[in-house]
Amino acid sequence: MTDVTRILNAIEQGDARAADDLLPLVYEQLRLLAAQKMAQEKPGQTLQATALVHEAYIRLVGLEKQSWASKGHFFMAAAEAMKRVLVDYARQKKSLKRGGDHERVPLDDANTPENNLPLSDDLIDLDEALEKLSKADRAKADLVKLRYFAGLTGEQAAKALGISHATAERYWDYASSWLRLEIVRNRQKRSC
Amino acid sequence: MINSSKSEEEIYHAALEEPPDRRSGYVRAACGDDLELLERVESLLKIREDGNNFLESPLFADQPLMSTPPEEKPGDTIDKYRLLEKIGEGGMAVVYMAEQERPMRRKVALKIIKLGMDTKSVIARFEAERQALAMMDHPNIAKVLDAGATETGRPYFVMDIVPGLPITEYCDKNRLSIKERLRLFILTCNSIQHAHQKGIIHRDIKPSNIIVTMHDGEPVPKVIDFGIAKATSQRLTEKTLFTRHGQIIGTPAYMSPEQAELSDWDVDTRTDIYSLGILLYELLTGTTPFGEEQLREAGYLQMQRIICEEEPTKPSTKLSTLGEALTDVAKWHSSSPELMPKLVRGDLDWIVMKTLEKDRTRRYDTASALAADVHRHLNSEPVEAAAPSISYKLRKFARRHRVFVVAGLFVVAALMVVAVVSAMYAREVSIHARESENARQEITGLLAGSYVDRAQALCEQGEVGRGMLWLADSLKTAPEGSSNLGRAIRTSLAAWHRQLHSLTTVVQYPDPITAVTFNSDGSRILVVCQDGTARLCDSVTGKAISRPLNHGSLIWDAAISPDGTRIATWGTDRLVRLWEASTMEQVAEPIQHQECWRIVFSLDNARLITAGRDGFRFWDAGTGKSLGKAFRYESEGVRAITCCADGVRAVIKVAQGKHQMFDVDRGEPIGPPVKHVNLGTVVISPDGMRFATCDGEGLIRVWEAATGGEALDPIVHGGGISALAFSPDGSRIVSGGLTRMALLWDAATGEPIGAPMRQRNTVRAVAFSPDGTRAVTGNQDGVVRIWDLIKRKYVGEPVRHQDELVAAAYGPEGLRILTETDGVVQVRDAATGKPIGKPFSHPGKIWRIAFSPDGSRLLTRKKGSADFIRLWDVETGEQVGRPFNKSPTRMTFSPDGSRILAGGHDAVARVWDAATLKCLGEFHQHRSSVFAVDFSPDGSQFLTGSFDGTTQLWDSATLEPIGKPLVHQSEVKDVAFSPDGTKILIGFADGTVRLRDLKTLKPIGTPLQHLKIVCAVAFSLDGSQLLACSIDQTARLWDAATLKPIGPPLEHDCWWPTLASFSPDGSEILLADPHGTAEIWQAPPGPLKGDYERIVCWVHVVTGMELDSTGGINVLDAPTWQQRRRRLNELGSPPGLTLSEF
Repeated sequence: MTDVTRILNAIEQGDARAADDLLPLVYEQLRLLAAQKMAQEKPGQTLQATALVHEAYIRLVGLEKQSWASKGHFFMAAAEAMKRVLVDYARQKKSLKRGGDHERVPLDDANTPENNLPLSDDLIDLDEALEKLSKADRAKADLVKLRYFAGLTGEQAAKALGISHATAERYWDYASSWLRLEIVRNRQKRSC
Repeated sequence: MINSSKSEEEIYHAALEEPPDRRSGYVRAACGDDLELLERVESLLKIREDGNNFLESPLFADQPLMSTPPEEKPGDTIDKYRLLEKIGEGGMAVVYMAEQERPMRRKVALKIIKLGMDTKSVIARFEAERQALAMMDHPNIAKVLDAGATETGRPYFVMDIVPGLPITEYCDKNRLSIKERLRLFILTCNSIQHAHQKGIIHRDIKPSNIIVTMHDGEPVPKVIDFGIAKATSQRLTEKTLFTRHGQIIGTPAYMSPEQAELSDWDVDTRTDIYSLGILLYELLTGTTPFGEEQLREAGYLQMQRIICEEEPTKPSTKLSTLGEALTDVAKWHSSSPELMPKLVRGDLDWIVMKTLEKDRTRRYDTASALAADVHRHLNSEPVEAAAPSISYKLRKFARRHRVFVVAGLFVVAALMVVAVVSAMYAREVSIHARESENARQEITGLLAGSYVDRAQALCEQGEVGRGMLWLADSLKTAPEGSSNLGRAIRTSLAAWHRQLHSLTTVVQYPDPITAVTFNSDGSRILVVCQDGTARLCDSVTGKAISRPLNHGSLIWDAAISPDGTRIATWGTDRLVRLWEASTMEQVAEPIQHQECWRIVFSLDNARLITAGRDGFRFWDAGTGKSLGKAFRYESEGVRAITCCADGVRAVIKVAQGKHQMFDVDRGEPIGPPVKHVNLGTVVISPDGMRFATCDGEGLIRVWEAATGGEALDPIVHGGGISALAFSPDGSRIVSGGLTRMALLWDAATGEPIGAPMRQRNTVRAVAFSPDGTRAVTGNQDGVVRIWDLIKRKYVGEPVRHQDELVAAAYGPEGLRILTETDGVVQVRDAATGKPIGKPFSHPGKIWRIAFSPDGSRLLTRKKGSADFIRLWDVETGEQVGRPFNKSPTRMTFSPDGSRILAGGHDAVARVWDAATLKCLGEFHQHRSSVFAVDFSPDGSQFLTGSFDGTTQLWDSATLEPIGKPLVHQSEVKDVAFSPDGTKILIGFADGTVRLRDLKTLKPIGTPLQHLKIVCAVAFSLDGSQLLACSIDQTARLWDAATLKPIGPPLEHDCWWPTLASFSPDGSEILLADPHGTAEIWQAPPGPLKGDYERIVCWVHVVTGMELDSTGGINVLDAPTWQQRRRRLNELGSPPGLTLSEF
C-alpha cells in the first residue's frame, strides 16, 4: 500500500486532516513528472497535463481498485497540484520574459527548452478567477479544476464530487461563463 | 411580474430555457430594478453565446487560453513538415502544400482541421484505422500518409498532393459529354470498391474529395481524404451538426439517410454507394437532388426529414425543370438543352434512383455493381437497375442490333465512338426515320454539333491535335444534307491547323535514340542510336542519306560540325571518333580523352572540343591531332558545352546540386554557381548568356549566367525531363521526357506555345532546325519525329509607325493608319507608311474615326463626351464645315457617302447631310447613350442601338421608325448589317452576341458568348462568318449559318477595341483600339476540300494521332503513320495545305 493509498483510505474513513497531507505528495510527484517529460520530449512536442495526472495516479495509487470517493479526493488534489505546477511555470516564464527576477530558482535543474514552457498570462488569470470562484462557490470551482486540470470527463467529475451529472452540467455551464466574464473584466480593469 | 429575488445563477439558467428571441425580455423582467444584476446576467449570457470556451477541452499544456489558436502560416514547421503555401480552405479544414524533410524530401498536402475537436481522440481514431488504410493500394486513391497534432493542438493529416479540380468542376470546365463523365464515374466507383474490399468506408464522398488529375494526358479521378471522415466524425447531434459558428459539419447534400439519422455507428459501405449516387446525379444534372441551400435553411429536423423521407426527383425530370439553367448545364455537357433530358431518361434515371434508395438493402450491394451497371448502359446492354421486365430486355436487344442498321443510314463508316453514342439516339431515330427525314437530320445535326463544341473546347484548352481529331470525326456524323455544318467544320479545321505543330516525318530506327541534330542548312538530321550506330537522313523524307556509321560501342554523345562535313562520336569505349559525313568513313585515329563528358565542334569547323573530368582539350577536326589542353578544373563533370560567337561556354557541376557557367577559353567562371538539385539535362542558350536546367520533377529553370539569377519563373513541364534544347535564336525551348510528349516554350515568358507534341514513348533527344521552324524528337522506342512548329501568333506584328499611331481603318485601297506628332495628324498607307494627303492639326486626342466609302473624307471625334464630330478632306487636310453633333459616340457614312449617321451620349441619334452638314433628322427614341449605328448595305435602312438595351430600325428615305423598338437582354454596344441585308448582328455589354433575322426580327439560334463586354461586331464580306471583339482580350469567329465557332480565338492586346473589321479583300481582320494598338490577323483560310476519308487521313498525319474507341487519343506508330501518309498522297492532300512530298 502506497502512502497515497493510505491517505486516501484515511480520508474515506473520515480523517479530514489526511487530505492536507495528500496535496504535497501529489504536487511533488507531478512536478517531477512534468520536469522529466519536458527534458525528454523532443522540441515541439506537447506536454499534456491530463496525461501527467493519470501517470501520477498510477505511480502514487497504483492499479488497485479504488472507490470513486477515493479517486475523487486524489484527482481533486491532483487538479489542484497540476494547477499549481502550471501556474508556477507560467509565472516563472512571465518573469523571465520581463528579464527581471533573475534570482528566482528554476523549478528544476533540467535545461528546460523555452518553447516547452507552457502557458502565459491566460493561466495566471484563470488561476485568479478560480480562487475567487472557489471562495464564492467551492463546488463549482472544484468541478472546473477536475475537468480542466485533471482531465476528468463531466461524468467522472460529477462522480468525484458526488453530485448528479445533470447538476454538474449546469454548474459547468454557469461556472465557465462566470470565469470567462471574470477574466475579461479583470483584464479590462488592468488595461484601464 | 416575475419574482426579482432570484439569484444570478437561477436567472442565468432560467433564461437559457427560454427560446433565444425571448431571452432578453425574460432577463429584463427577472432582474427587475436590479440594474447591476441585469448587466451581469446579460454579460454572462453574451459571453456564453460568443462561444470559444477554452475550458471545453481538457488542458493541453501549451494551448493558449481564451484567444483562438494562431493560424499556421507558410514557413511554419509542423513536426517534420514545412508549410509552403496555402492551397485550399473550407469550412472544416485548411490545406497547405508542405515539404517533408525526412526520411525523404518530398512535397505533401497537409490538411489541418479547423473546428475545435478533441485532437487526441481524432488521432487515436486515425491510428486505429491506420493499419487498414495502409492496406489500400490503388492508383486512384490518394493515401493519407500521416496524422498528428499541430502545436496549437489541432489535428492534421498528411496526404499526397493531388493537383486537379473537383470532378464536377473538371467535367463542366472541360464540357465533358455524359459518356465521358460516366467513364470518370466508373473509375471513381472502382477506387471506392478497392477501399471497401480493404474494409475502409470513406463516409464523405463528394465532388471536392474526388479530384481529377491528368495522367499521361488522360483525366483520372483520384479519391482523397480516406480515413479522415472517420477520424474526425463526432457523434452527430444537433449540436455537433450545427457547430459553434452555425456551420454544418459535412455536406448535407451528400449525406445518406442513415448518416442523417445520427446513427453514425451504423454506417457501412452502402452509405458510400448512396453518396456515389448523389455524385452521379450532380454529374448528370449539375445539381444535387436536395439542394445544399434547401438543406441548410431547413433546420436540423427538417433536413433530417428531407434526407430520410423525401423521394428525390429523377435526374431527367430535374433537367426538364431547370428552365433557363438547363442551357448552361447543356453547354457544360457539350450538348443541347433539347438533347440533355433525352440522354439521361431511362437507364441513367434508374441507375441513379437505385443508388438513392432510402432503404440501403435496395441499393447496389457494391460500388463495382454500380460501376458495372453504368458500363452496361454505355454498351447499350440492359441495366440491372430497372425492374427487368421482358419487354424492356427485348427493347434493349433490338436497340443494340438496330444501331448498326440505323447507323448505316446516316453514317458513312461508323467508328466505335460514334456507334456507342449513336445508340442513344437510335431509338429516336428509328421511330422518326420512317416518318420524317427532317427529324433524323436534326438529331444527327445536334450530335455532330455537340462534337464540334467538344472539339472547340479541347482545342482552346491547348489539345489542338485531339480537338482536330474530334472535328474530323464530327464531319462524319454531320448529315450529308447539312452543307453548312460541313463547311463550318472544314473551315475550323483549316484555321486550327495553323495552331498545330504539324508532324511531317516519322521514321523508325532499330534502337533507342540517344541524340538527334540538324545539319547547318537543315536538310539533314544526324540520328544517333544507343547501339552505337549513327545515320544521316533527309530531314523531309526521313530517308537515309548514307550507310550508318558504327562506333563500335554504345554512343553517349555525338556532334556534327556546323558545315556538316564532320561527325564526332564518343561512347562507352571511352574513345572519340571522327567521321567524314559524306562517306561515313572514320577519319584519323580515335581520340583518347579518357574522362570525356561532352564534345562540340567549333563554329569555324576547324576544332573539336572535348570536355572531361580533367578539363577541356582541343583537337584538329580534320586530322584528330591534339591542339593542346585548355582550362583545367576539378569538378564532378561538364553538363553542357556550346560554341557561341564569344567563344566556348560550358556549364560545370561545381558541387552537389550547384552549377556554374565558364568561359572555357579564358578558364574563368561567368557569374556565380546556381543551385538546382536533382538535375537532368543542361543546355546553354546560343548566345552563351543563359542556360537552362531541368530536373526529375519536371521543372525547367532558365538562368542568367552573369548574375546567377533566374531569368523567369520555373517552367513546369511535368514529369521527368530527359531532353532539352534552345532554339537557334534563343527565343524558345523545347523539352521532352517521360510523359511521352515534347513541349515548346517561349523562353522569355515561360508560356507554352501550341499543343503537346505527343509520342508513344519517352523522349530522349530533341533539337531545333537551324532556322527554328522545325523540331525533331527522338524516342526510347527508336522513333524519330519531325514537326513543323507554329509561330507564336499566327499573324504579323502589330502595325507600328515611328510616330504615334492613333487610329487605323480600311480605306478603299487598303489599310490606312493615322499617326500623330505634336498634335499634327497624318493619314498614311499602313503597308508603306507613306502619307496620304496633307497633315492636319487635330484639337485633342482622336478616339474614333470613320472614312467615307471613297476614302476622300474622314470623320473624327475626340475622347470624352463633350466634344463634336469633325469632318476632314483627306487630300487637302482641310476641315470641312464646322464641328457638329455635340457629344457623339460613333459615326458612320451611308454606303453612297451622302449622309452621316451619328449616335450620341445624349441618347439621340442624328442623320446629317455629308455635303452640307445640315441635320436631316434627330431621333429621340432611346433613353440612354446610342452606341451603335449602321446603315444597311443598300442604304435604304439604318439601325440604332442604345445602352438602354433597345435597337430601332429606321427607313432612310422617310426617316421614320420601322416597327417597334426591339428590347434586348443587355445593353447594346455595336450592331452590323449582314452584306445581303437580311440579318443583323448585335454585340452586348453582357458579353453576348446575337444574330437576328431582319424581316422577322427574331433571334437566330442561341446567343454567342464572350466573357466580357463585346465592343465591336462585323460580318465577313460574303456574310458567311461573324466576328465579335471583346474586352476579354479575344475576338471570336463563328459560322453565320450554324453559329459554330471557327478556329482559335484571336487573342488580341487591344485594351478597348473600337474596331473589328475584315479587310476589303477578306483575307485579313483588323482589330484596333484608340490607344494605338492595331493588329492584323489572318482571316480563316477557306474550308478544307476533299471527302471525309481524305480529311480524316490528313488530320491523322498532321497530328500523328487517331481517336481510340473511347474518344481518347492513340499516337500512331511509325509504320501506321507512314501508311496513312502514303494513303494521303493517293487521296491528294487538301489543297493549300500540302505536306512535303514523301
